[in-house]
Amino acid sequence: MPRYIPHDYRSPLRPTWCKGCSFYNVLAALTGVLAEKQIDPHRLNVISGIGCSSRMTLYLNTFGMHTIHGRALPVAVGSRLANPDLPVIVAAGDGDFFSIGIGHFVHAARKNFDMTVICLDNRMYAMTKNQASPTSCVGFRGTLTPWGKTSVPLNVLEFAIACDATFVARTVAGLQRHMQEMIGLGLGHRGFSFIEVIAPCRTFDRAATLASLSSRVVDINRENRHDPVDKKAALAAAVKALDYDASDDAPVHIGVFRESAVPTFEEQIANIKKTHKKKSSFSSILKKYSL
Amino acid sequence: MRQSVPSFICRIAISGEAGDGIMSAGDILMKAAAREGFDVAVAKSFPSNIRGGYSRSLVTIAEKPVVSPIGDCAVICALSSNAFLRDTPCLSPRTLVLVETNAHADGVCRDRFDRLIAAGLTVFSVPVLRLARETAGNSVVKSTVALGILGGLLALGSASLRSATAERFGEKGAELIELNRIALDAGFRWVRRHIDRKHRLPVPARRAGYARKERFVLEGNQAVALGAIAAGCTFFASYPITPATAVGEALSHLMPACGGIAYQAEDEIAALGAAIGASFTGAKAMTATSGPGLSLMQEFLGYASMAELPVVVVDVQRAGPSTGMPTNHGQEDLLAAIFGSHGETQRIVIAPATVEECFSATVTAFNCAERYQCPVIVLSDGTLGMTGKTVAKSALKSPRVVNRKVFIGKDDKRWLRYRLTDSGISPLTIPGLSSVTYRATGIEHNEDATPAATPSERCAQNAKRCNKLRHIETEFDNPVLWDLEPANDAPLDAGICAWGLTALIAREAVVSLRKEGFRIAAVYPRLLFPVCIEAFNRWADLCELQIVVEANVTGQFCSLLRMNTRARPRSLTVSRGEPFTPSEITACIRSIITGERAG
Ligand SMILES: Cc1ncc(C[n+]2csc(CCOP(=O)(O)OP(=O)(O)O)c2C)c(N)n1
Ligand code: SF4
Ligand SMILES: [Mg+2]
Repeated sequence: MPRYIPHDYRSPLRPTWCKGCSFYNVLAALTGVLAEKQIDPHRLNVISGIGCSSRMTLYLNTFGMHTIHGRALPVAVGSRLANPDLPVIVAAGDGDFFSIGIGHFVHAARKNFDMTVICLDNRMYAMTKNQASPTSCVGFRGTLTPWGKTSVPLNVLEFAIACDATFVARTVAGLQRHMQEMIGLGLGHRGFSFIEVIAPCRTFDRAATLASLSSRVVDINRENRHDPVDKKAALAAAVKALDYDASDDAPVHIGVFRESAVPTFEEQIANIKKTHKKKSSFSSILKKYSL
Repeated sequence: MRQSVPSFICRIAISGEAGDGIMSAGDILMKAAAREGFDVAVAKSFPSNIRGGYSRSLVTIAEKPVVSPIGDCAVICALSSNAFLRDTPCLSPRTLVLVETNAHADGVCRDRFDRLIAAGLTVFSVPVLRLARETAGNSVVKSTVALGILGGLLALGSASLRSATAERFGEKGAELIELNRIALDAGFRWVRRHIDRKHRLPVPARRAGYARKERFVLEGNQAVALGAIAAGCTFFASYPITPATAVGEALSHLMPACGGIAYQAEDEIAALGAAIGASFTGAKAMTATSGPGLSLMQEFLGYASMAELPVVVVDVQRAGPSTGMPTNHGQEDLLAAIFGSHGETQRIVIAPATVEECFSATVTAFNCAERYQCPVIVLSDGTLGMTGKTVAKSALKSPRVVNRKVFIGKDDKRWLRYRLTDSGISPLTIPGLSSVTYRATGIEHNEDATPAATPSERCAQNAKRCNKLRHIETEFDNPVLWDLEPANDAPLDAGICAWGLTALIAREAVVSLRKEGFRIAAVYPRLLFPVCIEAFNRWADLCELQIVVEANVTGQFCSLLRMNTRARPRSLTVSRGEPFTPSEITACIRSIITGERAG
């Protein structure tokens, strides 16, 4: 008998998400993976920013930090450095990661902190009631862009690969098994794992449905035999994956786009500590300042 | 009655352009004099550019521990025209002025030179540059020639100057050490030949029994770093900014040996964010910055207040706003430190006044953060942070350290992260220790940390967060430093209050004012916020005329006292990028008091 079942990872709080919001599926996938891995709830820190998506932390009964808009990653960095034995999951929205917080994303990815970073991508700001986000498509009509968004959507997969994230994957909130598989691989990966979950907003985006998205998926690893170890191939696959909303039957590419084995920031710090640690007492430290 | 011999104190300014070696010269002179048995402080001013611009080391050498590192100089040694012009207006006629020969050759400088002589000052034109070229064959050692000259004037042992110089340049190779030795000797020789004994200022005989072992040489920023280590800090994150970078530099070297980490973040938002993440995870965490960084940290400060997480933020203030004057003095961030961030955030603000207090205030900051579960801001400033000083070992003796009480237990009724308690302080836990968990949030919440929005829940948590700091004045060790007249019935002339570095400068002014016969009640707060209401009400009751001295233009602490206490002080401020000097404070207060008396 396993110690934990998925429900054991749920906090008593009832989600305030709209009925039919795709984030419920992400929550289910998360609790599913945690139960699969039998992670103790008190031995995990789940960190988020602000947004509908970021409320995820509040619905888990693990340790969690529901922080401020755009700043989940630096907080996660502090948590990782203070206790490298405590795994960290970061869950937030496309606006949180790639608009206000995009600077932090670049650095956390490039430094290869060992954390699992899940972007619940509804391609808009939902919490503030329908504005364009960096991942919204051209022409997106948000309350602050009534005449249509003019810039092309940010390709978060390409961006994460360019930032040297060492694990980059995509899944769809309609595919429970695949979602669990990707999050599970991310948790198992040593280093910065980025997972984009295509998770449309039920309330402000009636066009993108989970059923339609899920029916159009192409698993790049199984069907296209994509090799995530090759960075050039990963970038090419990411570029091809962007236009899944070009037409009603455009393929939705999912799977592991990038995977590489590089020492994590934490491992490198541990090495520095090992070589420079002469375990000094306070009085011996003071000697450096003697007259 | 036998007249007591005043103890020796001599303040020397060495000034020139950035890149002239002025900072090294100050450090070397400090070390050499300290090794001769004196207490020494060196205050540094320099521009934010790497090369060029006025730069000065102010070295105070004294028999007794130095009170103010800032004050009137006995000797001014200017190596550039710019420095000569900056350092020589309104000098006392007893000042000895040395100026590089080329620096007063023409124009305004020549006029100034003549006027100083006409005013009766002793002025020497010193061919520092020529001596450097002729003896060492290299102008880079000109500040060392100046050091030799000052060493000769003070009759400091040439051996201690030589060894302090060699240590400073040791890493750069034997050739440079030799050049510097030659330059030093040239300076000493020049004094023997050209400066009459009556103009020299020999230090008293070497003080026996004041061994090197009993003291350290520390700068304010280094003392902050050591305070953090002594308090048990194991996580530090920062983004480089003048004049706070040295805190991080010291901690980057010290942390590995202490089992901790000093992390260079991508910006100040990330630095404070990481510190908060580390604190939640169980580390004692700190960040250090200056004004622009403090501005960026506002939103996270509010988060730490709301989520009730301990964290220490050091603000080494500089003159603002905006980029302002990066390397210049100012005490302008007080109200930003207290009130910055939206909503009403509960936090503690502490200001050290001395290098020693940079150490103890940092320890206190951690103790308060852990105890009250809130952000604590240490308000230092660039001048204090870069002031080097001999510090008695006893000042760094293992301090009292408060560790957070961590709740370990079962997830039963006793565990409520934001439980309403009498003290306002609720149980806190950290990941991994027991089966209880919680989600920290910046959303208003109820006792079990879940989001809550009813008026009664809001009021209860708000009151709890305020209440926990309600008794801090009595719970804090020495929240203010009193300096009162011995009790008798004679009325007081004035009450003086100053905080941070200005407190130190004011202390010297108070000594002078008392010598002139004025009766002063001085109070120097260390805990700036929450305001020490009892102490300042007492102060207000003691003296009718109250004056707050601070280095900003709007009188920030003064208005804070008016908001919170019975005190109705006047404001004495300066905001020019340089601290007050003791004699300025003395003169201003004297004139306020006499003006009051006149009517
Ligand atoms: C500093 C700051 N600016 C703006 C906001 C308002 N705000 C809350 S959520 C949000 C956008 C959320 O978008 P996203 O991260 O994509 O989350 P979603 O709601 O779409 O899941 C904004 C702008 C805020 N909370 N803080
Ligand atoms: S607004 Fe959209 S994203 Fe937010 S909870 Fe509702 S459906 Fe989900
Ligand atoms: Mg979104």
